[in-house]
Amino acid sequence: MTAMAALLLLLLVFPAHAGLPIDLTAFDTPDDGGKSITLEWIPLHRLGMADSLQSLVLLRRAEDETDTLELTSLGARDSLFIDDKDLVTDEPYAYVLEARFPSATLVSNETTATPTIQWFNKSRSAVCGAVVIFTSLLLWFTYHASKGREMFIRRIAGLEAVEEAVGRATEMGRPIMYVPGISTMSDVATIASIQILAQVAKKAGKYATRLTVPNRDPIVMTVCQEVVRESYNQIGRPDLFREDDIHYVTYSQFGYAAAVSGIMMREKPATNFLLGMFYAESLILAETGNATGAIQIAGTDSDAQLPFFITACDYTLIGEELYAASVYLSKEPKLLGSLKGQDYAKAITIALILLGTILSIAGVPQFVAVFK
Amino acid sequence: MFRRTIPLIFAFVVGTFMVIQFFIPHPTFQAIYNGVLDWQQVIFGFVLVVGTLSMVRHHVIRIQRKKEGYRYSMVALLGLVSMVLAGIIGGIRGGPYKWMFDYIQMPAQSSMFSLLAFFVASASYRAFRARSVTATLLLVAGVIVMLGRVPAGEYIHVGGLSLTDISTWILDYPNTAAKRGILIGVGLGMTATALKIILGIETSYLGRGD
Amino acid sequence: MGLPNALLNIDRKFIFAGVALSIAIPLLNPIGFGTSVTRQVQNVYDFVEKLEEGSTVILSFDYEPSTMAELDPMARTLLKHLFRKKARVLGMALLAGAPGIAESILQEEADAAEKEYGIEWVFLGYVPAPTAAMLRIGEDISMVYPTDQYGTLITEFPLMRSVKNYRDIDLVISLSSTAMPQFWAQYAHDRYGAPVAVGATAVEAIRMYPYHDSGQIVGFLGGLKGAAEYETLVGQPGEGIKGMDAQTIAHLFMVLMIVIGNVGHVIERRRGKSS
Repeated sequence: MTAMAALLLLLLVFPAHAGLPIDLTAFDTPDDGGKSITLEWIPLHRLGMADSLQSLVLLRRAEDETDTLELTSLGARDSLFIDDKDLVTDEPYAYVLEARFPSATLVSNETTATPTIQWFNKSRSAVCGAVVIFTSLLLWFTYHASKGREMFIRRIAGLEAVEEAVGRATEMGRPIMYVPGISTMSDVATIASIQILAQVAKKAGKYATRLTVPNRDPIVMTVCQEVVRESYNQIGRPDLFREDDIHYVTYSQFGYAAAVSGIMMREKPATNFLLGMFYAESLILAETGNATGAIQIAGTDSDAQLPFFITACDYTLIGEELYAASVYLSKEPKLLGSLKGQDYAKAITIALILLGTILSIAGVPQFVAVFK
Repeated sequence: MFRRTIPLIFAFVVGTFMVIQFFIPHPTFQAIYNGVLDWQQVIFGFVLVVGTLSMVRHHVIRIQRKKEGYRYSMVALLGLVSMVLAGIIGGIRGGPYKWMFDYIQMPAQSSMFSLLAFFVASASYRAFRARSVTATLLLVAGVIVMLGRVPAGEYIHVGGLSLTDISTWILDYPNTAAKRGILIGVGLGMTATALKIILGIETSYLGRGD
Repeated sequence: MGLPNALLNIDRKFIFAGVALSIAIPLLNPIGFGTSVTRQVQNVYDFVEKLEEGSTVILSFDYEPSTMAELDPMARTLLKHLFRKKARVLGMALLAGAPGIAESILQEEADAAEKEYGIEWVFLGYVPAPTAAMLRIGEDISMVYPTDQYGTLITEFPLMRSVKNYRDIDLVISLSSTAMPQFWAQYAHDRYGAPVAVGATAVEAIRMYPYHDSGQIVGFLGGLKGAAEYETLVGQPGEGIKGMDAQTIAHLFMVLMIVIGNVGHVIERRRGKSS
């Protein structure tokens, strides 16, 4: 009865209105490809009309047509709807909301909007700015490095040990096993690992030491085969390449761990490289390698697996050291420049984090909001 | 040219497009982007065949040359053939395929995962030694989290706080802060690597370092 | 040098035997430890609890049989809760070994809750290239899954008629032992705004904290303990709660081994100093 009274009261208060005083507004959805319209209104429960509401229906028609389409059924608490059902770009559309009560059917004001195409997603401006700044820094330092400017790179123990690890395998007459992680080529850690593989293959090739690469992803396997083949070609030893040494195992995570552990136990490689993206299987691989007495160089950007590698391997590349490894091993000046650019980007990030923290504490949240 | 220049141009064009499309909601860009995603799935389907052939070849060579442990290769090939045949003949919803999945694959894979419990125990026994101040801090934090993550931690109190509370605090704050630090470095490293490839600065992934 | 050396170099076979016993005995003779609920699990529960009737939820089985001991109890309890809330469930799998698990769990839980296929739940099956699939669902789910697991066109299901992309999805839940939850957070949430909840193995759960604190995921269930906590909240004790006894004793055993190792280390150091 209260709800009915509220409804009657509303009808008295808004006599000139079409019936439903919810202030329906429609506008082109920002930052989209011109295929949707956003609608907003005052929810019915705020007007005390929720209890007696039987249904609330959103109706749409193309502005120059008379046929109306029942778009969707809504609830008394709803206040937003994004219409992306078969809209034609640059065509105006009219909307009304129809509320059905036991005693009456009320219709909201009619509102129109036209979906249009945006050429830039403004909500991603901060990301765009970051990409531009980062790319500029990278190009700037690469340019200066290629002009002969000296760049310092700190010592990374795990990478210093690569030569020793390859040499050990050669002395022992046993193979080197290189595991490029278990992720796909869309993972940058895998790409970084493959860059290191190129350098390791060259070093192994110089000593004619056998290099085996078991793979979990078939695309990664194909790339690894190509990389190792090219590396051998570069050092003038194409005869060393054996396609069968860089082979596919299985896509199953723990099936792969079982197979690689089995190979480790049977072939007892003198050196294991575990570089790339790893998940829960990391400890199984590292502990098996540890048990066979191999020298192990691991590296991953998967922070959850780092403790396992640190525990069971001789050297571990932590996080971004994995990405720096290829640069470190090749010592190519222009690549060193890119590392410098990366360091400056990190300095800017740290400065922004500190500034954001201070300003948020000082009651200025607008700065942080820019990055959302 | 075909082995170096064209792949580099291709990487530059596709890479740049994938960066730009993120900021442009125009339907044309989105349609091309969706096409790239579809291609990714199609290519994956094909390379699975390449992967399977590689696996078969690897094991056949092992068997032919009677390499150490070649009998395991026989088991691997037998597994591959029998699962495929069972799936084709009896379907995958029941019959031999489902039986083999439920009673061979499931327990075999679960056993591999369960090895983690054993390896974690032996690795933590070896690694958690109070050799220095920092190692002792790691040891204490490790023990607190180990106990705090099981019901036992709720019954052990230190200074009015249960080990569960302390472990939650360790995971929520010092752990998250350290992880964020690593994540930011990793994020920048990822972006730098991707940009180096797109801009042709880094080419060793093509097998050519210079 | 006998004692410290013995304490420092216990053969791993004995450690393995200790772990096996500390897990097996409590599983055979349950003790009945309870567990408190963490903020991360509570948040997932609260989110599901607030879902309105008819909400649509993606439950992605991103794991293989290897990790079913930790993740199956989560899948079952989440499904019980979702069906109780009358949410509609889209089951899917992004790993080749997952459909077999997903199919059994979905079917059993749907049967127990008397839910009708095609109206209240569907199983879309497995698609390769997971990240591409996650992104494509943001545009049009039918482009990724034109048919369900059994070859029926998804347009024939009443449930799928109102689902086009993430805008029509009220929650995405990823159960995984790999980085899939991160990809879901980065693509489904960051790019398309879909709320994401996670069930992860204990090893992987540790990396979920930053994503949770930044609001990229609504919450997460970590390992068997996460499953036990959710079972406690839902009021349906299952494998998670049962496993807590074994996990507790196994953790205590590990702490004991660490203590033994350190006692040996301290004795050895003192002897070294005095000599």
